[in-house]
Amino acid sequence: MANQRWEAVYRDEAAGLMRLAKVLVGPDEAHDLVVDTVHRVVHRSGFENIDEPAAYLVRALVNAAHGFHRSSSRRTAREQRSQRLAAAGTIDPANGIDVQRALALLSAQQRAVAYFTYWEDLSIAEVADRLDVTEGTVRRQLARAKDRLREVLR
Amino acid sequence: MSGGIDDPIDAAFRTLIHTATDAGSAAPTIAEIEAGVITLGSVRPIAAERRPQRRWIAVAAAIVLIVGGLVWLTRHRHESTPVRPAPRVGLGDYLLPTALPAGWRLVAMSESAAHPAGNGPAVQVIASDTAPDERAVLVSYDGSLFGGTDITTPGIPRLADAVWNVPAGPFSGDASLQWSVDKHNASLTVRSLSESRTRDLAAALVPSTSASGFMLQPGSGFHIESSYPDQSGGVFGSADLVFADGHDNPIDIEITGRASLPSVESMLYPDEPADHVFVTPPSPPDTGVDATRSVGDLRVQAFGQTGADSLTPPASAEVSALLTALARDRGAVDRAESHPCRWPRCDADQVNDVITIRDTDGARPRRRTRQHLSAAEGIDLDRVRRHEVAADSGRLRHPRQRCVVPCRCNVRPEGHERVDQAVDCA
Repeated sequence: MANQRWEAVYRDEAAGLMRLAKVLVGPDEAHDLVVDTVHRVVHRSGFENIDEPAAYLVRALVNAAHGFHRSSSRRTAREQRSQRLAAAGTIDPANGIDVQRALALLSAQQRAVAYFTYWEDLSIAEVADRLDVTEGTVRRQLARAKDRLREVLR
Repeated sequence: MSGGIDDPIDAAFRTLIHTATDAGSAAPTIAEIEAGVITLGSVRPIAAERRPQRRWIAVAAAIVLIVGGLVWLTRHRHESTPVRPAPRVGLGDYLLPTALPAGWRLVAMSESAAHPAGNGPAVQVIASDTAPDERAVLVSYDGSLFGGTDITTPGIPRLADAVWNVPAGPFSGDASLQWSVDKHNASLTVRSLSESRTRDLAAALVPSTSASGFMLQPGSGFHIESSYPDQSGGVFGSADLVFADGHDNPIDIEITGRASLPSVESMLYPDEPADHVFVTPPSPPDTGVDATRSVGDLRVQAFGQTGADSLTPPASAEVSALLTALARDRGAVDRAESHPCRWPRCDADQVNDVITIRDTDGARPRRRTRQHLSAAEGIDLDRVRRHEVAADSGRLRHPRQRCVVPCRCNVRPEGHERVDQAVDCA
């Protein structure tokens, strides 16, 4: 029964979680982040008692992204990927923004705030509720994210 | 959300996010989740491996840089040698917002407490050997605090590629440079220094091998005037207040307590009065305003901007007046206490007491702290919620593991008897 519950939740949220993960850690590691996070969360005792499992998964994903870059093994693989990406180029041809470089300037929380603001079009209050932070935090993180993006666009 | 946004950066951001979400592979299948399949060969799912010997709790704060600076505050401990954390102490003092400028009102407030110990950034004040106006504040972070891993933030370049960041406004000379070197992140905010002089100064700075912070190579023409080692940088509490004018344009004000660390502005302008309000309109202009003020050990930082819910940027004078009003009644009210977690497995880094209230006219719930309930009119208590922030990555906890401790609101107007109100957290 517990398996059926998380599977149903995940089916509904998988696409959104993957999109968020791509913003949080980039397209190459998004798959790993989702697998890693969901695997840990749904196999934790008591998951079946969580009131809002979808929101719980979102917060877990954002929190996991904070530490994702610290793994040395992942870092090695990431650096290898970065070299390949640098050779191939990651400039978005539509607007000239180096997407990965621009996102790399943001903290995990700033990326999450930007994702919910610009992809899901949530209000400040809704983003705060989704991430379980204050509205002031959302406003500050969003403004700082914009400041960082301006540096890239100069 | 998008309808009221005037900032052209929003369009770029929207494109950026959409581009990012379009790239890469599809979501993992349920079978992959079940198997814990990680595509990197060397990485096993966390659930199947031992917990790392060290884990890190990070509290992010951004109070010491004028524009765009980041300060990382971390603590660490071995799991094999558990250490009872020091009690969270909160602000220890309070700035009661009374006598607000005409048209402004307090609409929300929350407060948090944190461990006073821990490793913060090293802060050093650098002065010119010859020109008194030429000063710089260096904020640096030692990567070895993270167990030797490379914590260089993605996007922070080496010095040769560092971006010269010049804010607009009356403090346009307070430019900054951020770079990384030898696993150290460094940010230099300068006064009356050109870009070339700043880059020369940055090149003369090398990470210290014997102490926290950086050393200055001889012959640079500068000297280190004062140093604040990382142990003194710990944030021990903060309060987040939101004010709104008659058009519901918000201004966020963050009050942060730090031990023995003046503000960057105070270090750059030591001749200004200690409680001077520094106002810095961001670049581009007309998008908002930042302001900061030091009141003893407390830092008060205001932040207002245009955006979906704020179409008119607050005037500098308004922000300045708000900060001045906050400092008027310092110490008149005891802070609402934030208790340490008592649940054995609940070791979240911050605990906020947040009360969600619902206006009687059916408006959407708003969050306020308890001490404002008595002053607020036309509201019914909807629920009391203890809000915790697990700063440690991947440690989001089951709600049942959250602390359930009595919340107390200790309001003590100056000269009046202390009143304690115990409310159960639901």
